Amino acid sequence: MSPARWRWRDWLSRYGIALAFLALGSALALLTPRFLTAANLLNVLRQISVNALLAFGMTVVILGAGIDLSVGSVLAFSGALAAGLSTAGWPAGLAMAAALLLGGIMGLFNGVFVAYARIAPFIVTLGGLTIFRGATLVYTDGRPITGLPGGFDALGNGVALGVPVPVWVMLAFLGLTHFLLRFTALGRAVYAVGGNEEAARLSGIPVAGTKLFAYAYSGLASALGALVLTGRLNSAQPTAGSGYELDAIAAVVVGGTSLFGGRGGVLGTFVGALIIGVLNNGMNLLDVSAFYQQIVKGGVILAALLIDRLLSVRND
Amino acid sequence: MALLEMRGVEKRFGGVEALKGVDFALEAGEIHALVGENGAGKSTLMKVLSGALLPDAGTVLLDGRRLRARGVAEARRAGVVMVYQELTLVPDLSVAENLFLGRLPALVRHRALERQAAALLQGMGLSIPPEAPLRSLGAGEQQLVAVARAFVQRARVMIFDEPTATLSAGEVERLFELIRRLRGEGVGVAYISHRLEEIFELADRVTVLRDGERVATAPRSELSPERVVALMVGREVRAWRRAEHRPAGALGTFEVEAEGLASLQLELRRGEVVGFGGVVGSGRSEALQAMFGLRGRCRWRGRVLRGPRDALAEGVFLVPPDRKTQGLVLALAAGENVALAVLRRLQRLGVMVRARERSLVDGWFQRLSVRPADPGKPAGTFSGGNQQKLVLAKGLATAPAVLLMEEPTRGVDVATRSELYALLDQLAAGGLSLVVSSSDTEELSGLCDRVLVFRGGRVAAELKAPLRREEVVSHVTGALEVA
Amino acid sequence: MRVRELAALAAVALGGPALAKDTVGLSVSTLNNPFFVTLRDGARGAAQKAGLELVVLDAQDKVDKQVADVEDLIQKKVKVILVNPTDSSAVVPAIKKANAAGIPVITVDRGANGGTVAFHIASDNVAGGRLAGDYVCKMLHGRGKVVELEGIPGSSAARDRGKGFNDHLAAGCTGVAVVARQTANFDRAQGLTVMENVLQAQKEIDAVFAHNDEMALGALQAIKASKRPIRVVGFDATDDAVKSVNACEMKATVAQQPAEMGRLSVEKAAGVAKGGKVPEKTEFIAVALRLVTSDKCR
Repeated sequence: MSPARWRWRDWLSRYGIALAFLALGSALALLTPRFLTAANLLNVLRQISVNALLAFGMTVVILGAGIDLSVGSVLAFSGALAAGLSTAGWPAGLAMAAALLLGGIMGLFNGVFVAYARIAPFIVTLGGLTIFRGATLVYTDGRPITGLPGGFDALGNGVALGVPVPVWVMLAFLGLTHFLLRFTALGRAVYAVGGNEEAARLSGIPVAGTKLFAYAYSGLASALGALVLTGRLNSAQPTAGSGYELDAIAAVVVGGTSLFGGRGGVLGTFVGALIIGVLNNGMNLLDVSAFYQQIVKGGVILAALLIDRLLSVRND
Repeated sequence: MALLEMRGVEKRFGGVEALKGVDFALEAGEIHALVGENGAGKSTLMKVLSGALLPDAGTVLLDGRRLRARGVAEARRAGVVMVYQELTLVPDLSVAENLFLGRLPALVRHRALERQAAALLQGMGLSIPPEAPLRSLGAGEQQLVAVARAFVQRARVMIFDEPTATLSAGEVERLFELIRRLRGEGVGVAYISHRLEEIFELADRVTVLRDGERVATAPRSELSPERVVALMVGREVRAWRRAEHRPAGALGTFEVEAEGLASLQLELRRGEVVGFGGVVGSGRSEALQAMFGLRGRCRWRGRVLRGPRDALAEGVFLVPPDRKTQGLVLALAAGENVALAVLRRLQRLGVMVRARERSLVDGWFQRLSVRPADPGKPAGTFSGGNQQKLVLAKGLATAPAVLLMEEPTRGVDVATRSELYALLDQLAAGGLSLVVSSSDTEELSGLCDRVLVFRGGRVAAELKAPLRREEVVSHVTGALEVA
Repeated sequence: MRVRELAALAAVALGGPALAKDTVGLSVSTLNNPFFVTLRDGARGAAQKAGLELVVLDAQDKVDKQVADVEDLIQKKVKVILVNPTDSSAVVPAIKKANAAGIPVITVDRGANGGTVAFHIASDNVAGGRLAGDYVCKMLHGRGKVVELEGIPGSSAARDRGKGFNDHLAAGCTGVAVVARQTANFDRAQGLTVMENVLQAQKEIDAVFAHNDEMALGALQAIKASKRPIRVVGFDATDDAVKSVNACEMKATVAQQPAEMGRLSVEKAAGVAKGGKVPEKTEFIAVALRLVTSDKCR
């Protein structure tokens, strides 16, 4: 293949998903005047914030050739803890910090089994999914926790400089994750371990430590998502986040990160989350019947992946 | 009329001509050995015969009729069978079921099947229980089952490619008995081996290949081991000549203990190039891996190396044999691969210092003249030779005292190969010690100050400069033991 | 296993003096949910009044345990078996066993997909939807725009509640129009996002009817953020929702009456036990629903 052709393909496979997003946005803008308004766009950003936060953490795990199915349950437990501690009289900030810590610990729990016991990540985090959900039910006694202090409402429903606070949180975490993956030695190690674990090991990369970090980071991301969701609902639900792992994985994959690890990035994941969010928003705006919504959503995800596959036929 | 005849077979992989019009014939009831150095074309020729590869030109005649097998299954139906160890057997089925695999009736009656299998195995002098699941057998016994299956399938032509690499001495004996029995039944046997003593024990005729051409075919009785070695090596035309330099003072000693390996002490001098020779399974790769902390126990300069991280900390780096699965992260940029083993040195508070990384990478790209000179491209898009340079650059970036290399030029084109040799020579002259494990005897004799030849997990011979290639080949193939 | 349950099992196993009265068995899907605890209490009260012995077994939401529970009740030769199925299909074999033993079966709250069932006692979701429609209509004085948040597509609760609501508006309240109808899958977080989107799409909204309180509370959150005056009506009367109604945030929620459900079940059982007629085809007994509102809000 000629160099010019290679560049063209390379460019398309890198930005193809962004083009797909723009095409989807343009179509919706034509279909309904309500779509392309500042208020609605901020609304979409706010709505994707929780899924995006989870997906950013998931991106790190998947880049390291893992998977984290426990994100929804980690979210539920962290959110319940934050809410429970607040209603027990802890200052909101301290309760939130404790929840983030708990999220990181749950991630470490997954990571230890993956990195040291060498159990398949799918199995480990499937275990995490049920264990953490069970822990949530025990902690909450199966009931929602309400009556939260104002700090949560400010985090979930506040506005700063005209932009909802959850959007700021999401963008900050996006920046942090991108920086971490692209500009630090740890991020480079994540790509290396996911791309070729054996080569990474022979190069002296601490493989187990890198995996441990990836899962802990995903746990932290889920806990952050939990704080935003708890704030948005002004309550913590014991069933919160069930099924969220699939939306997060969808955002990662639509965003162009390979499920086999080593390829992709968190900016793509952000676009992936945007596509899913815009799709939900658009179908609500157009008042599409519930039965058709699921078909359209699945179809668009498959189409995005198909386009990506066609554009990057030349893998190596 | 010969049972099998191959005429003018040509096969080319990319720019490499693996077979340049080779003729090969096999009589019924004959054991015909194929010998030659790595890359001479033996395995390629047999893959063409077994249907695994399609030739670019040439014909294959079976009983004088043209055989056009597209795929192994078709060749197998025609009666041409290649014995692979694992590929064609099913570990979870019983020995009996494996023997009759592909010929099983729709409704398997195990009793009858096992009785039939028992009779067959007994007739071949094998005491293998027919009801045992295949996976419960050792590797050697599994291979014997694969051979026994050829009897059931009434093969006309059987091909063995290095069948004894993983067998014990007793199993080798039984295998040879079976092969002779096949010959007695009128089967034509093609037998590839690096071990000359096997060939002189077993073969009726010998064909020697070199660089994709047939250089000789003769009855065994007319050949001596020395003659075969001379035919294999031929007249050397070397593109590259080693510079004269003498290793300096002592650097340190590797003390290696690993399973299946006699304990090994290797004293290295600064700037010394030590070669590890030996056939597959001789223990040379195992020894090299142990020296990098990947298996067994290893002490280097008195320090225990528990893994790659310890080894790297002590200035030891391994260039693994397979750059695609072990050497490089293909999806990462070439430059990022080069920097992979020194990430710690390129960061400040965890953040990569881009300028430092770029100057390091650019420096090595220039020094090794990596092409294309674009460190941003994924490593997977580089050619084999340039990928090998990337692995080498990654290792050299760690500023090692010892560079361990396994098959450093496998699959590398001729031009890049001599470039690499010159570079390694230059590095050695600069005081870097090298340990090169290779199946390429030209590489060993051309590059090294001394060569340790491994056989059966121990160092069988130590050859010192000046090294002659014939000498290396004789030791590696065991020609001396035959004589 | 809890003491209460042990005692119940012991009563089943030992029989004894309890046999002086007629015994009725109740297999509950789960007592981990306050709704069913209230249902059981209603049944207990009614049993006492009717002079019946009531044995209650908790299936802990496990289909296999429920089958075993019903088998135990058959062994005990109770007069009538009341079943609150954990699953409409999985309960069928147990009901067929009771049929074979000649013991009449009454299903409570959730129906069964097979077997012979004398009575089915449940809330009338269609009537509940109608009740909500009537309330919304009166609240808007017969004129306005309404958003309907639907439950999980295809679920019977979503179907029935929606049907009652829409039928009522279509029949007697044509001034009120449903301007958007979207599913939020009975989930609070989805109720929030879907309502946010609908708020973007619809400039004029007067009220929201949600098929359950979780979605209603999610929608309420979105409405609060938008600061638009939109009134919310939910369904189920969960603790959270009742609190919200009392705090003058949600307008109303439709309450099922589990105690009433338990009472009616035992009354029907008592009738059968005392030699009453067992209907050939399942007779549906609808339990009335009740609207929860707050007087102090204006």
